[in-house]
Amino acid sequence: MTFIVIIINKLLTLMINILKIFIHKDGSVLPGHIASKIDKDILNKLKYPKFVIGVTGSSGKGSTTRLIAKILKGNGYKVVWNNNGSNITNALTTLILNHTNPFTKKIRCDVLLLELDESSFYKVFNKNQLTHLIVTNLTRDQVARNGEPILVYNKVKDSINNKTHLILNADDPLVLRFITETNNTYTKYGILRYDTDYNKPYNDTLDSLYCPNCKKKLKYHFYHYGNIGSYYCKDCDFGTNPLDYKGKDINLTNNYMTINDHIVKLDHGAFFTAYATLAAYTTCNLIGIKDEEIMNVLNNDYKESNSENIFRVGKRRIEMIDSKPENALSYEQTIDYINEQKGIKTVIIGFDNVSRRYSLNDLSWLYDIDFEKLNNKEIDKIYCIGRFRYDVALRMKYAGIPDNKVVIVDNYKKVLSNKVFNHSIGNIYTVIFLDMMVPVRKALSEVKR
Amino acid sequence: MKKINILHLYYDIANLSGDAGNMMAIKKALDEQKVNYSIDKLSLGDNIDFDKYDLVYLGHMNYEVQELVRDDILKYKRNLLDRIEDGMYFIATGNAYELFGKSINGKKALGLFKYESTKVKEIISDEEIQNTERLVSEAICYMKNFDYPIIGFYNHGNENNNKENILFDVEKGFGNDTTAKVEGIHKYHFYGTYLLGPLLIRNPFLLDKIIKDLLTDYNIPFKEVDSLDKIAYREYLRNFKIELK
Repeated sequence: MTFIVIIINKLLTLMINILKIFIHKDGSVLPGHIASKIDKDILNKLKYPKFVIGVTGSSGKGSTTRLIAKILKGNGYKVVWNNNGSNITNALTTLILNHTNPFTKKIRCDVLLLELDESSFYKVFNKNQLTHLIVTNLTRDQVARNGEPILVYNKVKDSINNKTHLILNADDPLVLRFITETNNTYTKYGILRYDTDYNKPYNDTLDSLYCPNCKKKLKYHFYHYGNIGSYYCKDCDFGTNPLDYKGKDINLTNNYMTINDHIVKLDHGAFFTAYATLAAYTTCNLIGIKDEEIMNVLNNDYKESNSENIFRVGKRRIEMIDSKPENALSYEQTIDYINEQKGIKTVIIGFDNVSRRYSLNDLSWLYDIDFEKLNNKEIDKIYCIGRFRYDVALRMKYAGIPDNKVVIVDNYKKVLSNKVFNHSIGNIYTVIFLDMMVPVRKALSEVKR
Repeated sequence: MKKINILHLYYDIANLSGDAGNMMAIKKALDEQKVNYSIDKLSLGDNIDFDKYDLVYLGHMNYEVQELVRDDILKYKRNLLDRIEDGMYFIATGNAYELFGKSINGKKALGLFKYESTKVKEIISDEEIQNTERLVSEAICYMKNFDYPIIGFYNHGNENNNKENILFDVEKGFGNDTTAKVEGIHKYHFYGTYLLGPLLIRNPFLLDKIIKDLLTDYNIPFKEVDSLDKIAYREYLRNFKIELK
């Protein structure tokens, strides 16, 4: 039976890949959907490789997974991973079955590496399969679906058993909570003080500021962003330190950082890339890849990760950053990234929908992000586009940004390029959701002067 | 001129969904009215005297924080309830509103009102957001003697059985529980609603009403001001085809 299900999955994938030439539809879900309809326990009947690594969290899963895959492959490991970012159960089923030998039921790889959706991966396979789980952070994200971060924490905790080694971002107090409430072995990674850190929280909209043991407010040495930073409890030993893997001396101009005592390149000049690189380094080192072998891949096989989204129109450099609404801390890092870039900047912000998964449009998250940081003299103009452009513009107004800098653009597909190229200066950064990447790029590329 | 004293209560932990936006809105409204005011921020471990305040705001919080806040706020029960009964303005959004009922999941709450809050019992099946034990929806509500529809968002894990002093009729979205089409409570100058996040930014006419009532109590004149808030509100109504009453 398992044999037949695997074959069906493979045939369906093949058919979809042929059909894909004619209809543009993602075919990663259907085969797995049908396979699990026939046998819902199919993934528990396979032979797994020595390492089954999961990567989960509210943001940074994709880039962390990509970097781990790169290091592993660069060192000769055969890796099966969801490189298209499809992380829901059926897509993972499709992926795994497509790499399974129907006769031996063996998944053909040295490492099965899976980016996992934090609130549904308990459905994928039974708790015995994961050898390692990386938790990048647990912050507000897709609240309509997830509720609050603490509920996501509970879900992840319920999705594992004590056989999984946890690799934890110790700078996030909610992630570190796993060590107080599970008996799993664990490794802690974190980033030491950085130039732009805050000694006080930037604002009051922080999560989980209290000790899970003592319920008292945590003390912070510094904040990197949001509630992510170096903290401790006065009354017990809960806290960021001691760290097993330390990231430090981050240089986002020349894109490198130091991990323990080794200098590694970052493939993007953003702080979250330092976290992804640190998590990937930690994980690969733990499963036996030597420091030099990791550095060889990261430092020699180097390619800017967002390069396909950087282009020029005339003299203007445009960088498009996919920014997911509802994930305030991830959005905030986009704002931080823009602020770190030198020179005068023009920003385009907007979204047509809050989510790709659901049609509910909660706008609360706009007030969890410190858009106040954009109130600086290097920002020339902020163009607000998309269905919620007035709500975005209003947020900019509350952030104290002068009226003459905030432009609401109705019908951006027609008029954006004229407005931007004739009425603003400096490099252009778009802070928009995935569903607008194509139309905005098109609007900016069609210059009518 | 009388100085208006405002308190942002449990400001650092009751802030789960952009709730701090409400304080920005109140501050901006008082600036526009050129009123003399102060804003205090107090939390766990502080000593709070509600006698000092004319308006208090408390936002949405996660269920663990709600437990910490419940423990703490009970210390001030007599003082707080006296002040609300005397006419102090209190705005509680999201699950902050539950603290003023009799109990939350069997644990004693402030008891200003009779309702009890309990975990949502029914699992709501929703294709898009999957099965959830929370009441999650966009909201359109109407308030008695008020022309402007209230817009916002519901996302709460408890429900309550309040039947009195209803604040909103719910046109779209969940009410106090899975079936009630009414929501929130309004008595004295207390406003409690499950709507969460920047309610007063998204509903500038509701903010006007509250600020106008507050200023009128102190014989301070109120003048309506045009603002981007109101343009954004009207734009949202247009966008989602929501009509004025």
